[in-house]
Amino acid sequence: MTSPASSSEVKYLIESSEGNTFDVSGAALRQSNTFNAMFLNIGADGPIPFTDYNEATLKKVFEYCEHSVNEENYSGPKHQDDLSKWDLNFFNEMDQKMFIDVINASNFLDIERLTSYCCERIARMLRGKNTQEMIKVITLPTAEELEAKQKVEEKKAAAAKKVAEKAAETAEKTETLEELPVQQLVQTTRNKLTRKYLSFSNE
Amino acid sequence: MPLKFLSFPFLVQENILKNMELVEFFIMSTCSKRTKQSAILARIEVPKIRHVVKENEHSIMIRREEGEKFKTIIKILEVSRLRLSRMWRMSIGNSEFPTEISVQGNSSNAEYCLLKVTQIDETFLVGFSLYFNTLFRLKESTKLKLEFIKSAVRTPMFENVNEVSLSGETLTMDDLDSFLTLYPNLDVLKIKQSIDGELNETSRILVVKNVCLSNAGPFGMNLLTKFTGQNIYLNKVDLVEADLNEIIRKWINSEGYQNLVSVHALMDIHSGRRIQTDQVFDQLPIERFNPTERQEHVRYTTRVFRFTLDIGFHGDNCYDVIRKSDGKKASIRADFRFFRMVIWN
Repeated sequence: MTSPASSSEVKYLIESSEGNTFDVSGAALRQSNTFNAMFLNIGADGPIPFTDYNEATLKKVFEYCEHSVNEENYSGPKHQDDLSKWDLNFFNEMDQKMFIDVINASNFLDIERLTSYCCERIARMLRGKNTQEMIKVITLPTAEELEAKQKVEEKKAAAAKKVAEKAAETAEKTETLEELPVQQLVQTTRNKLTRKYLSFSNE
Repeated sequence: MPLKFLSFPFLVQENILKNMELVEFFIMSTCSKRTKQSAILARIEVPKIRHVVKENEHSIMIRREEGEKFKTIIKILEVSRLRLSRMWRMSIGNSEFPTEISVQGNSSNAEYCLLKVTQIDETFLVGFSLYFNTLFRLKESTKLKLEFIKSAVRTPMFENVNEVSLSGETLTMDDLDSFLTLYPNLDVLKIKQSIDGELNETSRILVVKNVCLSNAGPFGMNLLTKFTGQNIYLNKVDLVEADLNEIIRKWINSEGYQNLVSVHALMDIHSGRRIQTDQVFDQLPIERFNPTERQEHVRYTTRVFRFTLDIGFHGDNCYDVIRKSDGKKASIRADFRFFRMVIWN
């Protein structure tokens, strides 16, 4: 399937988090700087795994890339007012969850134009808001939530520390045993057994 | 689904912040410590800013891209009480200040952020200035317009200031010197109120390049005789003819005023005094104005003091003088209640 060709006719197979694969044109894929850095020159043997993102999100992102293949080179952010009808429809038909997934995928794939438009859209959502209103939109964690999160993190850290200490202790013991010469080890074991026998006979 | 700003990767957060207007960007920073940290890391640059500090009000303005005009982005207002439902505890430095933050204007055009506080004191101003400077990267030096308050003498509240306008109560020479020690690199100093006290050789005002006094009085004449800067504008000044004569003579002989570009001095209309022109030019090597040698008008100190005066250098009481060392020409006009001198380039 895939080869490091520069022709726009070349199709690449993309693999989503569900394990599904689908075709994307080379021209569309080249809008992703991540792709350019990773696969363009070395080629991809088999489907390209973008398995952190689901099929619907990736399809949406590449739908945008396919559409903007023929647009002039990206030259910095464009205001939402200057977006074409197609662009507006593209954004308007997404629900919030899909929108967030698209931003994250677009950011990972480093598609400048799409990331920038998405970010400007969020900036617009915050326009004219005071602190409290802004907090509602960007859903900042409350003080209680932060405290609870911190407690969980502290517990996790404590547990991890315990495990690490135990592991270090075991490693130390093993190391000590390994370091003893065989004769010394035999003697130590013999002494232990003698002590045990004596205490047993005393009883 | 909630839009969790802080869950986005930093590059996305930065991109969102850079797409915001400065007003919203500032408000975003007030939401939490983490949003403030994101805002700082976004390294937003601002052009020249101007602080306007009055007794119960502090505005921060930025210069518009298209020219010299400034636009308010944050206005801090002292109020007697805050509405509890809208109160927001803003972290400034190590303290928390109860505030009320709102946006003035509409959603399509946020004009400025209005920040109400119960007290604008020295601690608040210093803390807020630091907050602002941490948040924004200033590309140019700052302009400060200050209604003079005693605390301004004690604490350096603003950084990298190169222009200051003072107004308010009468200034003592000691206060002015203390104030100017806090802002040592001034290009322009404008003072609206009168100044009490003696000017001595070590006074900090003598280091300022361009000085404009709106209520100069006898202090103004004293300053003019010791001036080492470029442009000086004195209004309501008590001019002394003998001193003016000495200034011109020194300039001709290169004994002083080497950096001088222009002098514009006006006497108080109500003083009833008139300048004795003959005394000003007494025994000086003066030449009458010759239109073939130079222009009649000069556009006076437009750039430095931000106002324009089209002054004519011609007529009966207008003369030219030549500096002996380099042949540089200066034109002087002394008439009725004013004295003007310009050094031609």
